[in-house]
Amino acid sequence: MIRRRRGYLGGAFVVVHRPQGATRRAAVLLLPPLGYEDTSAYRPLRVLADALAERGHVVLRLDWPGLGDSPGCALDDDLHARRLDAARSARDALRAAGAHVIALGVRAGGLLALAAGGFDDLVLWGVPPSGKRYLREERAFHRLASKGFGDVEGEPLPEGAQEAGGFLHGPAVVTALEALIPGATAAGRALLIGRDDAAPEEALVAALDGAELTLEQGSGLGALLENAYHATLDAAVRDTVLAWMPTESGEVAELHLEAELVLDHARERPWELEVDGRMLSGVVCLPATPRSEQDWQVFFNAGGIRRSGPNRLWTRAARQLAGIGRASLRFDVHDVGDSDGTDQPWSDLEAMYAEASVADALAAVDWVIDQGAAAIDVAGLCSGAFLGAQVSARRTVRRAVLFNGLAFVWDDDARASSMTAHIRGSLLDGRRWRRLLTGKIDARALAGSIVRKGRLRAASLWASEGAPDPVDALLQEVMARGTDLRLVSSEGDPSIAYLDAHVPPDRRPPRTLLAGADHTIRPVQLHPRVVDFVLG
Amino acid sequence: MQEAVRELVGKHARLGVDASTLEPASDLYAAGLTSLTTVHLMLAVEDHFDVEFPDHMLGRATFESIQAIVEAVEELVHA
Repeated sequence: MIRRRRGYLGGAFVVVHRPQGATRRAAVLLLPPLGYEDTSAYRPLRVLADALAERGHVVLRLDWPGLGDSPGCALDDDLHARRLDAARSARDALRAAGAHVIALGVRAGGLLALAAGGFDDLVLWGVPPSGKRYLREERAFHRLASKGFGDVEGEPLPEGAQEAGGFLHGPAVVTALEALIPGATAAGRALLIGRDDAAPEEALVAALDGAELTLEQGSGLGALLENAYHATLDAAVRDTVLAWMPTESGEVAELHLEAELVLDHARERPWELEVDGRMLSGVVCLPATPRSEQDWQVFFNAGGIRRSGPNRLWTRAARQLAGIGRASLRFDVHDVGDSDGTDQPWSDLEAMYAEASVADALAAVDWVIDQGAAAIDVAGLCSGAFLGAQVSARRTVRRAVLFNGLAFVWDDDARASSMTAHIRGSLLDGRRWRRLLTGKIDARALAGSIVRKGRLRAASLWASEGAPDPVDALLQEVMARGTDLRLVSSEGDPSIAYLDAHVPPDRRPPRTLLAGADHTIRPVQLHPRVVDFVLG
Repeated sequence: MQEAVRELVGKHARLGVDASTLEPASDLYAAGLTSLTTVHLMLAVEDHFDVEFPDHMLGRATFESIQAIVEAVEELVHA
């Protein structure tokens, strides 16, 4: 059994995983990747932290400043320094608690661990040989992924900034990362795990020349970073890390965490709620001076992406909402982010649209109602749009802003629509093609889905003949309850065809098209518009 | 060179199909290559052939097939 505790330490949001019983002296500071890779790896690294805690190790995970639920923005000039400070503060807190401190850094997290320095031992997984090389990989990734979105109008990126996968490295961070070249690093022991099927980088081996080195041919990095929907922890890597860990017993004292994060115009604190025996996790963001009758916003997960939202947009929107006096809750449904549930990636789309996820969303909204909310707004993207529609049909919601909803009612037509849309949209997810080619998707079932997709296109015709279309009926019900329902679709997104197939033109809620955006709303120039939609 | 590239594709592209069954012109993206795995493949190709793809070659066209990769490497080797 383990305990997880959330709070703030050294200017960062942190999660402490702790065994219920006796501890081992070696504790782990888990330093995640940056940006898109952090989004993908979040749940699998939580699984790794749990596995270490189950073996008796205290594990401290952090969100880097500027990411997740930590303070800071991509363009902050001092962001790199604050990241190093956060790592050092966590290291020092663990050491003060009596721990032998091991930094476990993944990708850029490993580079930052080396830059922070002062760890007793190191585990580095898929860490590039320099910051410059890392940025080049990020640039390549962005150029390769950018087929999915077009040229957009908007503010150009600040000179020297670099986008990768919907996240921005500000000019100051780029400059700092470019200068990161691991020098001679003192560490007692070090475990180096390379990229998939590759040996650890020679530059890292050289930098750790004085340490007792264990080198592992890499595996599992691609599976860790693929995307938040599929990401998984490679069992071989997990076992390698567990076997390498020191086993000496030793008491590691409880860490003191701050319960609240104070920002310029907002205060944030971790949130938990038990639903059907499962603990849901989230973050409440309050205005600096909350009122007794408060307007609230609730944000829903976008598929497997944690509560901070696609490209961290929900964290950003929450803090701006607090600045205009509105409170918010962003949380994870079960199986996602820090909420209880599976350790494995979802095997199909069903989980995202399950009634149990709707129950989680309703419970979160009910909690907000219990806080005395004067009015509740909701926002969601993709499966989060589904949750937003379902909640708005069952609770009093003032305003619902739903981005790229591929299904508002989960039935056979939605299964067909979403399956074909996801496969047709494989520029976002080539693994679906692979699963089809390797027989992991039943080709006959797929063919049936496509046939049903053809039927789906006739849905609005059926509606005109008197048979109610469930999607149309749901959206009419939402609007009839007085909800100001706003739909936003990326240009060319399958959500457009889905709505058109189900709802006649004269009955559709207002819909805005975002030119040049992909399904998860990249590139970053479009993010201010998304926040503006949420703010209303 | 084509067989070396094919071997690298097999090891680093995380395709759902056996790389030995691919035609030189087969679309690697249709076979499951993603943006992320392309970066891993790019690094492996660079390491193996001791080349570095310039920024203007960091696009899907460079990695869309075994043949395209071979042509890109030949261009860099003979540059």
